[in-house]
Amino acid sequence: MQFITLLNKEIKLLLKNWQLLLVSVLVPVLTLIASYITSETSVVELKIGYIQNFDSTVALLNNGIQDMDGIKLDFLKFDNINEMEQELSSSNLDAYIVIDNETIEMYYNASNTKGQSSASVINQAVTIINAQNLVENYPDLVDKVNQTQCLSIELNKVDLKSKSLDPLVSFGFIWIFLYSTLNNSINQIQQEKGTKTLMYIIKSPINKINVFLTKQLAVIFQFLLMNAAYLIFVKTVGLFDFKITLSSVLVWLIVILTVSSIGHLVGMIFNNSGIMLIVELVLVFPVLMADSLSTNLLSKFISFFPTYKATNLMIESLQGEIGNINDIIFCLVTIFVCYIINYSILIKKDAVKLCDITS
Amino acid sequence: MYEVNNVSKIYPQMSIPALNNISFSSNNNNAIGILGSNGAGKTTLFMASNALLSINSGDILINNYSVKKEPNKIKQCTGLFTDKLVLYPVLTVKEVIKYFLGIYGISSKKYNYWRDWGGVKEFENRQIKHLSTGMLKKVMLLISVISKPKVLFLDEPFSGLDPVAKSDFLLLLKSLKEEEKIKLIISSHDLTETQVIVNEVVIIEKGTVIESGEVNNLIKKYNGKKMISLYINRTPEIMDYIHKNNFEYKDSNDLIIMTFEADHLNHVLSELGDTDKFVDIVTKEVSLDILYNEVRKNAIHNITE
Repeated sequence: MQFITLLNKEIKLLLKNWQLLLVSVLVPVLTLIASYITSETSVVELKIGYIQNFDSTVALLNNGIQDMDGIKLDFLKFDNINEMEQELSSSNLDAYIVIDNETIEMYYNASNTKGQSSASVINQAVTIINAQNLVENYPDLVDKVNQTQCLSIELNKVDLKSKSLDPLVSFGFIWIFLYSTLNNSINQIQQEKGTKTLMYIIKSPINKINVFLTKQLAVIFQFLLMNAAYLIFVKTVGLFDFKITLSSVLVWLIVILTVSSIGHLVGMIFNNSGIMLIVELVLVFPVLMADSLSTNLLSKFISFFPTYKATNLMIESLQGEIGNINDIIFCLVTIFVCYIINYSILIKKDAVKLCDITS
Repeated sequence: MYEVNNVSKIYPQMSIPALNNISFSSNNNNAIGILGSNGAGKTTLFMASNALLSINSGDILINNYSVKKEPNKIKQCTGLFTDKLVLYPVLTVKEVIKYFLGIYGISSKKYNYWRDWGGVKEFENRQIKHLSTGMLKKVMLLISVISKPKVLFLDEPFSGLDPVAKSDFLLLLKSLKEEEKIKLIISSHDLTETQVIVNEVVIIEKGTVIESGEVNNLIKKYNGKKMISLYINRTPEIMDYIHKNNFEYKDSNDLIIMTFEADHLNHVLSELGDTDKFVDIVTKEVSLDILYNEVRKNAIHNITE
């Protein structure tokens, strides 16, 4: 009965703070949306100017680049070279071409990637056109050239759907499961301290282990709600596909319990909100950075953080893998140790000091 | 029933002890007032008595249970009302009371009984953050007595209450004392209200007990006397009489308010003669605040000597 009472209270507190739940889901969703809007598109558009009366040459060039994926050439007609020079200098053009008989003089902006890409694309197109011409008009020569080649290459397109998580998508998962869970777990304890209800919990005859257990169950419930919302969003917009298996759910439980146990420990030990914020940042920020930047150096440095190991397990479970057994054991040990310390603090430490009551 | 034996408590950050070897006892069902200035050690004593704060030396016995050896028994038989408790702002009164019933292992069927006893029915569905001070204190009192403690400690129960709310609260406390037979131990700066409830007082100053005992005995000890206020129409003869006998008086429009010891009443009445002049006679009991001030004055005087 006492267990149900505690759990009931935790769930009610959680649901009445629906604004917090909403923010926890909205932050990663909005981050995703903003990132995709502002990122460069996969198709590169290049603007190339040319003098009129050379439409046929331009058509030939367009044919030459039609097999190049991700490139779109926009040929713009001009009346004279001076106009094109001005447009190039004000970056309205990436390059311009001047055609003299069968020679193309190309002027491109070497200081930016689009200019360099224009030069590369036009060069490639001319090479392809010349090769096609050679094949049509001089088939014997082509055979002789092929026989003298020391290296040949065959390009094959392989269309695979990537199993690995986009860093922007994984940021959202990490935000929900790591930052939100940690923050909410710390707040659960801080609220009991701040309202001084922790004193009454200590005075009451309830099993003190149940205090933490019910809080963790509430956090798990909250995580499942937020995670479900986020998973539905990323699947709906086609950013990530996943399969939920029993093993992935078990891994989620372990990682959530790990993070919330750490959160409860931080909340129990510290009273100062400034120090708690610093601890939160230390536990969360490097993990977010390591995942986003995929840097080995940072990952090595924080490899012993329980939050890092929990994050790895979570990401691996989303990618359909069970994860490293050592990391799972590490997380279980972390949960156990945190429980022991939290329980000891609750029964041994003066309630007055715990709740920071001054006479 | 409540014994404090040579208790000392030193906070690391303080140079003087919060409680300095204090001792007193109360072995009946009398309500006790713990009086003292800010920082005297009252809250420290309360927290220690509820086994929520460890003490450096000595022991506290409540119903023969020791705070040091049997803290869990102490926690079960005591209740604590403190104005430091804030409760859960987003939960309703009903939810909070049912929560505390649950954690004490009491059936939620008892909710209606406690709700009606505490007089919280009209705002039971209101969130805690939307309660007035008076309403909140009623809820806090409910929570502190829900477990039916043998001894209830009340730390500043009247602070922030208007006169009507104070009166309501006093009725609840009287009910606890007389009907539920709970021993009340009250710490308050509102001595007028405290006096209505308590039979004994313990006066603490800078962590030391400077006086303790039954209120009536202490009044006798400090020469506390009943005073009379006589409301009389102003006349030149009355003014002469007052000045001649050095009575204290106050002017109030055409009335004079004479104040003197109750023992002198018959003498004054016989000397003044004509009762048409008298408007009213008011008897003043010796109040707790006068007693408290007398005790403190005496203590300071002894220290300076």
